[in-house]
Amino acid sequence: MKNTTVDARRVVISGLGFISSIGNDAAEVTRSLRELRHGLAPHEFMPGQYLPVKVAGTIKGFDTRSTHHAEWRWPERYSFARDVLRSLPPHGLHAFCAVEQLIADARLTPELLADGETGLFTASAGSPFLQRHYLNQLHASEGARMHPMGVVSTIPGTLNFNLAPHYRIRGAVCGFVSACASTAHAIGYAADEIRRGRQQRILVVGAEDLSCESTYSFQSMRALSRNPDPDTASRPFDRDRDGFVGTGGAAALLLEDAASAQARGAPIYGELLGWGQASDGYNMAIAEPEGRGLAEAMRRALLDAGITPADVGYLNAHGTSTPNGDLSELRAIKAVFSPAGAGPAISSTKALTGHALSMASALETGFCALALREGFTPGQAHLANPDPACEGLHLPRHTLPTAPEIILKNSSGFGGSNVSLVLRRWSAANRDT
Amino acid sequence: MSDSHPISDELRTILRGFPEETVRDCAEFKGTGDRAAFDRALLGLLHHHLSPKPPRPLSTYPGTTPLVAELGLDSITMVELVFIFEDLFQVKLPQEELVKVVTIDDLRALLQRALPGTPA
Repeated sequence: MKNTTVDARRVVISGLGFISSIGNDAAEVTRSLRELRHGLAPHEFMPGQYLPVKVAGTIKGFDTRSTHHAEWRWPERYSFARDVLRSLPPHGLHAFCAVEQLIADARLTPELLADGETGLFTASAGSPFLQRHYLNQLHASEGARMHPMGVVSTIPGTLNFNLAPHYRIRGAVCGFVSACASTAHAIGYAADEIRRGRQQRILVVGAEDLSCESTYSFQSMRALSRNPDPDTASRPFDRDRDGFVGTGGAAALLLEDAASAQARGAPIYGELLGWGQASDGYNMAIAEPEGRGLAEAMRRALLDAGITPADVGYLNAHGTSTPNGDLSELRAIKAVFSPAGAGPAISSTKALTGHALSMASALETGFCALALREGFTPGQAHLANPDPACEGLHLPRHTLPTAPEIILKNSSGFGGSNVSLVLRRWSAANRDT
Repeated sequence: MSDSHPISDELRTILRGFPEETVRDCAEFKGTGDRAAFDRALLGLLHHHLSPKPPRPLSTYPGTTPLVAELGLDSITMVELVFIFEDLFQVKLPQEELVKVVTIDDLRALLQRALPGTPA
């Protein structure tokens, strides 16, 4: 039964922006998803002869290796003044570019952004890269010196701090911290804010540095792939997977009340039909082996959306390509779908992008939105030898040329936070199922 | 203004992102101690930190112009500017004197006191 307490309004995705390893705009990302073209490349996280991790989902067209913004480079189509750049981490630059795309795509005016009916929910891990630089300055000067933007440019929340004032956003502004489920939480709570009538629209922005400090540090947990081949390093659900491949960039989505988006003539990519969350209660970093928490999150999402497992045509998996995490998710999927005799197409697009940590859910929900609107179902790239646990599940090796009617999107983060989102192909005629 | 004064790598690093004209003025002042170069360098450094930019050249503003009330310099940006001055001229600007700076002339005088041999 559909949750009827918060469904007075329909929530749609009405704007997108991408700076990602597989493309720096929606058109390029769509091509990559259709052709299963990955964005992974050889990458040196730091000088070192013995670094076992050699591949990353690199961001093309940008150079943010310097700690000083004056040395950054970005595509000519974007223009930023010094007073914007001075308080940004590298991923903040990416976030601004993604938001610029979103604003143009969604036909948002400065007046709408500042009308108090527009909010901003974000997630990033902050910038350990820049923080390390500034803290070194602090220690080297024996407390006399730290850049005045050293705090706001580096701590989690930096995206809120920078984006909200720049765009004069006066609605709900908040950051989310649940590791790799962060932007899924942001999307879910944004939908609730709109469904409850508290906001007309909310920008959800996720971004991450691709750096030694943010990304390579996962090597200490042995979570990263040591496979040096960009063509196979990220292979979710494959028997030979050995860890995730890191990536960064930014993704921006506009969640909006359907009537508001329609009135403005904004593109409607799909409807956010419902969401659910549940935790493992198991381990700070390792997924519960049977996937019970994730399975419960999926069930709650289906309940909130008022649909059954059989209604789901495509499942965009969390699937990071780690041995334990993928197995747990496969078991969770079976627990939800197999008893119902349901067999949605399943894929993890992290095979193409790498794992974008807290921005992953925003990025992949953006992919789902493109699939719904453009009419395709992303296939599972790099799956040569499926894990035996894939038995009975449908993982198409190629992108399918038709759009699913309904997508379930999974996300999981440290501490066992699990979130599932339900998206539906947009039809003005659809009402409650 | 002169192009003949050498611009060190250190100067270029400190002034990353600044207009070339300001970099040259700073190099000239460091090389000569020239008063006019000092003024141009000071106003160039100040202008770079202002947002929005003033409607006319800073050189046309009287020295009594308030930095915050009229030019929009905020306290955080003032700290950025001070760090640039300190790095550029290898001086330490005392916090107790910084808080007394209100106008362009106050800033100019503070720097002149901190820089040995700067013409008053």
